[in-house]
Amino acid sequence: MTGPVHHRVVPAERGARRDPARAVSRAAPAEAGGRCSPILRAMRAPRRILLVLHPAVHAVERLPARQGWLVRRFACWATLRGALADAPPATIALVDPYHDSGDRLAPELHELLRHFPSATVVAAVDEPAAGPADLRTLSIWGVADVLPLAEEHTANALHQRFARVRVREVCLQLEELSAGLSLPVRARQILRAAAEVTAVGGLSRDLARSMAVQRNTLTRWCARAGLPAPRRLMLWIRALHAAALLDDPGRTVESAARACGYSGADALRRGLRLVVHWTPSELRTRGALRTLAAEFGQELRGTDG
Amino acid sequence: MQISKSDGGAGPQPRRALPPLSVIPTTEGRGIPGALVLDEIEGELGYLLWLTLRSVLLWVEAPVTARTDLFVENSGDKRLARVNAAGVPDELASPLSRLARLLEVPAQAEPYEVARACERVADWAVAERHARTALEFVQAAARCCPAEPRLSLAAGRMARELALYPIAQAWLYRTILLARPQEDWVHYARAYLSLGALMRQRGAYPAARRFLLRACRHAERHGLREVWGMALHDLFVLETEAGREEPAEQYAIAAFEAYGPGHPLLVNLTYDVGFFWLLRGVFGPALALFEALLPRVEPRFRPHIYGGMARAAGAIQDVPAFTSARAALAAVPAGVGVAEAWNDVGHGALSLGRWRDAYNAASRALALASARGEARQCHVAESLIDCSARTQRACGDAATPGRQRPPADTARILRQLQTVRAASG
Repeated sequence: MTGPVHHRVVPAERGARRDPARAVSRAAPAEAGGRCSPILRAMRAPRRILLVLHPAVHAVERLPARQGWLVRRFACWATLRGALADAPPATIALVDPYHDSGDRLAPELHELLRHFPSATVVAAVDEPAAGPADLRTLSIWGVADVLPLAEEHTANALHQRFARVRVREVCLQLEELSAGLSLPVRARQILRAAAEVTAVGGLSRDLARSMAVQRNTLTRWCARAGLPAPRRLMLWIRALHAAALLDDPGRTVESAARACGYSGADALRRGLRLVVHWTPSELRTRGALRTLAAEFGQELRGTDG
Repeated sequence: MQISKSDGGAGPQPRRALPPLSVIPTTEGRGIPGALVLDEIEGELGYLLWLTLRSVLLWVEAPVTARTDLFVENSGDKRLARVNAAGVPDELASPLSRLARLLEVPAQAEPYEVARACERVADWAVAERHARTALEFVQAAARCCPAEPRLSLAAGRMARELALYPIAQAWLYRTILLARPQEDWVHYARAYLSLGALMRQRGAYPAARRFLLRACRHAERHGLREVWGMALHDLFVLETEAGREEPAEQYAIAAFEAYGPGHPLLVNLTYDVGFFWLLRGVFGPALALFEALLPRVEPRFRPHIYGGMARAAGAIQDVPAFTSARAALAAVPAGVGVAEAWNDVGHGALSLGRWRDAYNAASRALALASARGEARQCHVAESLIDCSARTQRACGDAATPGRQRPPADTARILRQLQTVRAASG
């Protein structure tokens, strides 16, 4: 028996639009077909940007071009701070911690890290003026790494170091989450790769490529490891990157959105609505990264169970 | 055991794909890599060790084809001069000089040589009680020889002792994956043994029992008598803690037989039997046993003995013995078994009716156990705190002394002990 075909949106589908968890099942078949959601398609792919406030580091000019490094030099802390406000999550700031401060650690650096705690700042020093005490202070302030220039001032060394320190805030959050949920090793591997790929504007196909597998294999791996489907996973990780930037007091919602590849605050709001019920401002007041990571943990528990 | 030259770096291919080393969680958290070394060792030596660790990690994490031009020209000579000027301890001079040469010709350095030098630094750090520095260098060594189960196991065990459970688990699982295809059954069974100990430490008894039974089975199958004894021993401790007396007793007897006379671990097993007696209310003989054991155990096991002595002395109202055991424990820094020992002191104080002492000991145990994620000890400490407050309100003075004679079913273990003692002369 055949009946009339209704093209109206049925209540269940309306509910699916509102409920992020239901959106997964609707999105999953598109994964195999290779189509992107309009939100993902509209995103710009941010480049790997290196902001340099250090007159003596010349090796950055010789960083491997194929890695797509975009190097920008600065002369003072104020201009660097301005640039960090709009910088995407994979950006690294390479600074001289004694810049304009003689033998003391620059208070401007401390101020910068207080305003942009999610920023990846690497300090380059010939020899710490106050010895190991300065290194410990830099570590407490939140510097991601310290480069001893006397030994590691080569393009190869810089490249290896930068590969390690990128997107560490989101990676650490995911690591804590994985440990808390006792996720299998493969799940951790996929999450880590996803954090790296989304930080430079990659999509789920790029994630599959980075893990050297077919997209169908990746979808199967995700299901077995208790993770959402790859496209859904990328939505989550991208939202986590945005949340990390939203936690920076020095950023506006608009700048955090643009830095993560969204076209603006509205696009970020729509992107977040696919995974959680919070708006960017609400997330910000609750501690964006922690709140979103907890929600992601809830979804992983649901997927796993 | 030395690292064989043939298997440094590559080694036989495992059947199941090994997860990459990048999956293993890092120790630095939100600080700079290697900051733990700077926190633990101050001054020029700490800085030198930090620089060395970083060079090794930079070298080992770079792909083999990208190890040229990693370091600035002449930086090896400068590092060597720094090593000579720093006046480093004799045990460190040779490995640090060897690692300084890594900066000269990074492309030609042999992974097994770098790993060996890192291990020697770790050995020094263990001897000097710089546990986190030791862990960093053992991990660096394990990364240099990623196919070596022994180093992977060492890293896992060290991380477990520092209560860094996700890191320990990652290394121990890796050891299992490495050892199975190489048919290295000693490290295979020991990794299960360590995982069992880790789960017991966290209070996950079913998982601990599963791992220990697996270790026991593999050790027995491959004729590894010592590992078999260790697995039975751990199962005895586990069942004691779980309150299952009958299987505990059987495992204890089996462990005595598996170790055989003269085995160095017999001392530890004897201590555990003493603790078993404590739990069953046989306090007098337990105290005598602990006093006899004290000069024979390694310093790192002494907190356990002090705790046991305080608990037994409290139960039989021997105040001087209780006080001296508590004072000895107070001088021990935080580490494995210290929270448990403070809980035992708390039990002893409760038996003596010294509520304030019981409360203080349990609070100390709670702080130590919380810092190390030892769920069971946290639970015991909280119960003690609660109990000390309630008992103080309910009754006033002393508690009932414990039983002085061992019950009949403990006689079997006593006979076993006497046999072993007679055989070992």
